[in-house]
Amino acid sequence: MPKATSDAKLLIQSLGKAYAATPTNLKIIDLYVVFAVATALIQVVYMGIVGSFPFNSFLSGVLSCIGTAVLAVCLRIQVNKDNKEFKDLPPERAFADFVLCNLVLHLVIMNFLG
Amino acid sequence: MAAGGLPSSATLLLIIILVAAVAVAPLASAVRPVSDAHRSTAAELFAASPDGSFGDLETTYEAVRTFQILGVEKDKGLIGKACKFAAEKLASSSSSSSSPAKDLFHAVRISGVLKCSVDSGVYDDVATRLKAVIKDTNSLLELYYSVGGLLSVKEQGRNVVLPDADSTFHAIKALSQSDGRWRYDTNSAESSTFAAAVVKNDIVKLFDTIKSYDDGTFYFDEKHVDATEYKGPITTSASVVRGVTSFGDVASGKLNIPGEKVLGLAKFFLGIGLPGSAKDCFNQIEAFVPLILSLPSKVFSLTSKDQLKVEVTTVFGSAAPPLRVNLVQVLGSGSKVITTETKELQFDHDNNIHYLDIAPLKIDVGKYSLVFEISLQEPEHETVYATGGRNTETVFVTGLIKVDKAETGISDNDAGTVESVQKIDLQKDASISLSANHLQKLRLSFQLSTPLGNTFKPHQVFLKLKHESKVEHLFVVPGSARQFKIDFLGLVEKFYYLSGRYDLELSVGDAAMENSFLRALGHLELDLPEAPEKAPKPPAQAVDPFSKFGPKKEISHIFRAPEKRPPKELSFAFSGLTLIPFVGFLIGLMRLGVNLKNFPSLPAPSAFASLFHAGIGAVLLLYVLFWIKLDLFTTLKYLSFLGVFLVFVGHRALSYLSSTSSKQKTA
Amino acid sequence: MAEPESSTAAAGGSRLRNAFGGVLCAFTLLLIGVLAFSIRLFSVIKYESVIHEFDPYFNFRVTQFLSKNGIYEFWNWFDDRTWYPLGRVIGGTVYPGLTLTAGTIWWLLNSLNIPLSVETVCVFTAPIFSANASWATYLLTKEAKGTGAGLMAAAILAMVPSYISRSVAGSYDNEAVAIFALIFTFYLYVKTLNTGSLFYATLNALSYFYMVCSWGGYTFIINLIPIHVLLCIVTGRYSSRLYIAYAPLVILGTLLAALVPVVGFNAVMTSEHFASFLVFIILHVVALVYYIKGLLTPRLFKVAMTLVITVGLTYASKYIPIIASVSEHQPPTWPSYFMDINVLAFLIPAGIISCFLPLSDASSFVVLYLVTAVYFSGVMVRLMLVLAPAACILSGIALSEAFDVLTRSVKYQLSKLFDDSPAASGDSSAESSSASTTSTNSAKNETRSEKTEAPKEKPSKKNRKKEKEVAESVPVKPKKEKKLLVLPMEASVLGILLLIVLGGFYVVHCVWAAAEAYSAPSIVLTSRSRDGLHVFDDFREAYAWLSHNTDVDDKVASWWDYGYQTTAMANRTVIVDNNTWNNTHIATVGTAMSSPEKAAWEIFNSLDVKYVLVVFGGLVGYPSDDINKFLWMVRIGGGVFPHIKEPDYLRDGNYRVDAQGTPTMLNCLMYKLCYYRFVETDGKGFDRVRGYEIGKKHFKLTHFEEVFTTHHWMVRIYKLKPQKNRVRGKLKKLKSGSKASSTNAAGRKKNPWQ
Repeated sequence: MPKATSDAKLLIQSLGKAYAATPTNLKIIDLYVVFAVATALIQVVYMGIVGSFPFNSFLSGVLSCIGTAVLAVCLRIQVNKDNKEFKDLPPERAFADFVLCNLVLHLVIMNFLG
Repeated sequence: MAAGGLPSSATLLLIIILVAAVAVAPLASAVRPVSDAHRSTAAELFAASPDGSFGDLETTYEAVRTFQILGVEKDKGLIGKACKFAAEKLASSSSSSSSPAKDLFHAVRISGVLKCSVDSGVYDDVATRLKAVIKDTNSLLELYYSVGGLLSVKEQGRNVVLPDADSTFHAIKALSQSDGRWRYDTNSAESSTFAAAVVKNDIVKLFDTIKSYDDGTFYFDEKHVDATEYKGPITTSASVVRGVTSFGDVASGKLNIPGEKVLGLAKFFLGIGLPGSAKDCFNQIEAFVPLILSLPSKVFSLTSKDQLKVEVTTVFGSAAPPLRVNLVQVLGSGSKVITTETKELQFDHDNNIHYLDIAPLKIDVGKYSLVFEISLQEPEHETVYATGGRNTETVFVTGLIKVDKAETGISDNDAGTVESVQKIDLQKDASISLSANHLQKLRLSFQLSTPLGNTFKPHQVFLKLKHESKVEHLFVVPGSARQFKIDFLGLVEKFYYLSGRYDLELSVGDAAMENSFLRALGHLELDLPEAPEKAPKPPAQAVDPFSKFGPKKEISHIFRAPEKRPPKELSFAFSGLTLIPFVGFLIGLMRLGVNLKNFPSLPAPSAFASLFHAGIGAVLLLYVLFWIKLDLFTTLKYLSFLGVFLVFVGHRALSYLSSTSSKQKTA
Repeated sequence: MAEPESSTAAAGGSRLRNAFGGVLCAFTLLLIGVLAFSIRLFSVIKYESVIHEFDPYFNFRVTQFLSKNGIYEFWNWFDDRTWYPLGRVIGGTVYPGLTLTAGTIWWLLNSLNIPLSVETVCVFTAPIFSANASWATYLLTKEAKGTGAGLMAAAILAMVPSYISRSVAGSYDNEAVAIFALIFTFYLYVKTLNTGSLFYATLNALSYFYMVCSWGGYTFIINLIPIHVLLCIVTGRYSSRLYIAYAPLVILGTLLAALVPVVGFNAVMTSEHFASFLVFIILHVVALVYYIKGLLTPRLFKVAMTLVITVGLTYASKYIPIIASVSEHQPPTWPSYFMDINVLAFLIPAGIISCFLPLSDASSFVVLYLVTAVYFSGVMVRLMLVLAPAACILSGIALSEAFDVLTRSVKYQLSKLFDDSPAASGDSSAESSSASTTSTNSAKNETRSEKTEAPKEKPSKKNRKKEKEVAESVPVKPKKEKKLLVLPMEASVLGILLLIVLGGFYVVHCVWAAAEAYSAPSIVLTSRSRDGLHVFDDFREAYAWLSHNTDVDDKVASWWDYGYQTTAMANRTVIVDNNTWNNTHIATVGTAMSSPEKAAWEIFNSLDVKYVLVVFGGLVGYPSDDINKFLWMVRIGGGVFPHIKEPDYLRDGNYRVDAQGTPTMLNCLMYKLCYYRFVETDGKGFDRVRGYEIGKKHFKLTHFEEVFTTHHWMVRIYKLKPQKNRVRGKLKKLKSGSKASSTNAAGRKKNPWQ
């Protein structure tokens, strides 16, 4: 339906404009998230082709990507200046938490990778 | 039962029966005469200590007596030292030991054995002392030692008179118990039987206490009263035998001892073989000197006209005195008596063998028991050696078996009509050809006869059918059957429904048959119905027919089939593919204008900052190492160190950054 | 200037009070820990420091192995001394948390040169962790409601009988550690929710990992938290803190759960975890929606929503997860509720109401926890244990709120009585007046507490707590004070007294339950009679006999109840044990016990069994012996081997062993082994448990021989007679010569000199 498509196009344009206004550091984090999710998708495609053996490696690969993406999102939330709840939290502290969690995540991944 | 009617010479009594026991001993527990092995063992066991004393008096006596009996040559030095040792003991008037009589007893016996030259005065002195002991003592042992000592002194040529012998005997009797045993009975079986010389029927009671092992040997044993004094079955039995011997020396009249018990005793001693301890060795040797009858070869062939050969020696392996051997009886299987007339064996002086021709005996092939009797030619030898009553030996007589009238054929199932009969000559391999189907029977018949013309029942007759696929079937032909039938109808499943060509082989064998054979008979074309679905498959045959019972092929176990792996190129391709988002990330970063402007410029904070990044890198490197080769706990250990470091450094770096940024904000 | 001065003075005073309050709080917590520890020591005092029941023996044996061989051996351990000849993979079928915890404690102590044995550590692990659990309860309730409620809840949890029943000293079982892990995980979750810190989120995931290691009940956590998240979203309480609290937990938690061998890939493949994944996706959708909402204008947002919903609904309808059905255990009865949580049952509704005033994320979580726990405990009595902490938290909240109101009323009334100046005139004056009256009131409270202190320190502790709480609440509450309810003096004093009495009843009940009901080690039995206390130590006697008089490789067959104890205490290989993972194997043993002697001998011989162990209570009246369990042997055996038919053993529908018993019953192995020579005890064979004389009294055993019977005939051990060497009648045709040596006459010795 023409209205729906024009609506959709308008939607996308306004989304793009609004996004361009976000500060750079948040864009970096977003880019990182996209990178991690893309890697996860490639791994899922590979599993679809060759089967899921060994399953633990597949799980650890995919979950490491998703996990680091989730942690990046959490960092983004905490660093975002528009977020009222976290205005007392210095972004460096958020980054330190981010690094710590990532290290724990990757230790577990390495153990599970096999 | 009782070995009555024999002369009362104790040695003869015992040894005759003992030798009889020896001859009857089953082939399985072979008894051997004394050999060099015994001698060397004895020499080792009784190793002399430097002063030639062999330890105490008792051991010394045992040593020298053993050597004497076995004929072990000792050097003169040892003899001299032993003599001196004994002489010392004899001369010492005040003996410090608790039992002077015992010392004197052993010392006197030593000098007797070694034929030492001792002053007569010493002996008189000894005799006096011993008599004194007899008068005073109440202990049986003391009495035994004293009287025994006096006896040895007497043997060496001195004149000894035992005053008041009656009172001595009464004293001994008073110490008796009702069961033939005596009080103070450590190692006093000897003394007890010696003392029982006074009361004859106690000996019989003593023999009632004999114990037995399961293979028919008898022995005496003491009750385990005191562990330190317990002497063991060998010693005890030997003591009893010695005692009975010495009783025989003293007493007159008959002895009624159950023959089987004496038999068992003999078997016991001879079956011991090489004894372990010095005491056992001595005990074994001292007991008796029997004669042994043995056959050098137990198989006689009728075909080669072998002669029956018999050898007689003493227990110690030395030559026997002149004697005669008679073949008294021949018993067949099932104790069937073949001949009863006595035949004397002729003696071959050169080889020391008695022999006899068996051909005139008309013995057929088979297994027989031959009963021999030994009789000594000189009567005085009868006191020294014992021949025993009858010795039985088992022999095999073999010969050629004639096989004839062998024929085989196929007959139909309803009994009897033979389709085709073919004669086989079993002297050589035959190659007959038969054919049958599953409704028919195979028949085989033959006759076996001995050299003397009797029917022969062999031990083993087998017929083997071997399929071309190497599946074999064995059939046992009953020994007594003249005819043998294989009914294929009932064997279809056993044959695994395999039709085709089967090779036939016949094998006949027996211990008494000199020409046992395995002959190929030919082959048989067998027609069997088709195998149904669920029929058992024939077993896999060994690859190499000679390794049928050797190791089989190795089975490789696969517990789980390994998963299918993708081709390597695909994996590499995708690994490359995963790097693409990373590249995209870097490109995006550059597009966004990422820079390092915020990196601290002052030295201290910049050091911390770079250390922070280095720390993170180190942790990631540790993880890679963990994946490749480390284990969890080592990793955790290193991680804890690195983590502490990282926390410290990171705190410093980040707090510096936050302070600068807050300064920027407020400024 | 009077006001600022007084305010600074008040501020200084309040800081001092805060400091004093902090110290008092810590001291109280310490006392609560000691209480939790010591109330569980009754069995150690009454009997000895010994491990109870059956399952703890298995855990103890595993811990022994771990302490002796190290963790790598333990992780890969294949146990061949149980379920002979099948064996059991311990590394992959056991929750390692408890074992690793006790092993670590033992290792730590030993490396500090404190030489405690493994058994001591195992026996006391449960009380230590119950003290930890009460501290964790304090933390959790503090997050939900405040310090006062926290202390109250901790004190209640220290004593609640339901928790005591599974964590007395000697009850070395998974729940001892798991409840602590459960509460601590919940605390960390709530803390993350409250603070939004990623650090706490990581700690939460690690604590969840500890819970997964310890108990199969971890699925409760991984389902409760998603339900709570969903609840928050639905009630419009979505916030970014929720995202931070939940999303990392799912990822990291799933990964960590997959690390434990028992769980393995079940962490992503079974339906128990699907709820967490579904909520994860929903959360992301909601987060994205909010994000876009922030970016777009409202109109466009509506357009986007309509677009999305039409597409999404078609997918969602296909993948609704199935909640796993609950097991076959029995539901609890009402009396068991009262026995296990006692007074708390009445306080819970009050606590729920209190949680709603005001409702925060944390308090909604606690309410949700309670509701789900009540539902599950209603289905399976074992999950009463999960209900206990929720009940304690809510009762703690309720009680602390009640005390709060009552003491405040008292204080207010007293201040009205003693204070001349008008009380309602501004914050600081109210503050100061209340500050001044507080000190007098504290003195009054203490005197009152001394009066009511029948030597129970718990109520006085509560009083001190209340007084401190009042002190704490002063800086916060001045504004609210006007709005709150104030009761008349007598009512509030009576209320306080009644609440204290209620608490007293609770304490008495808990101590009684701990001392009498839950302290029996069940391996040692006692009974009181005229001549004092009789101790029946037959089980250990039998196991000690086995370990001293049999070879190490001998196999012992018994019913599965005694498997763990036999392997742990007697150190012998068993055929079946309490793990009951292989029904066919159990059925084999059951069939053997139900068969006549020869058939039973055949079965046991095929399993290489050398000794058979039965438990028999007929002489002393011990009711849970093997004859009473016999019907299960028949049923399970008959379920797999059809030749065992239950009607063969029943007379008129009952299992009877007297003269009315069926011939099959009177001939079966269990009957024979239990009642062999029983008639010698009293001449008539009167079975004290069944209450009648046995049917077959005089009989001999042909294939078994009795090797040991304990002092009270409670455990009887039999040995399988070896097979006769010669088979009668078959081999007469062979030549007699070859047989001469083998047919030994009876009693003759082999000649050792040959």
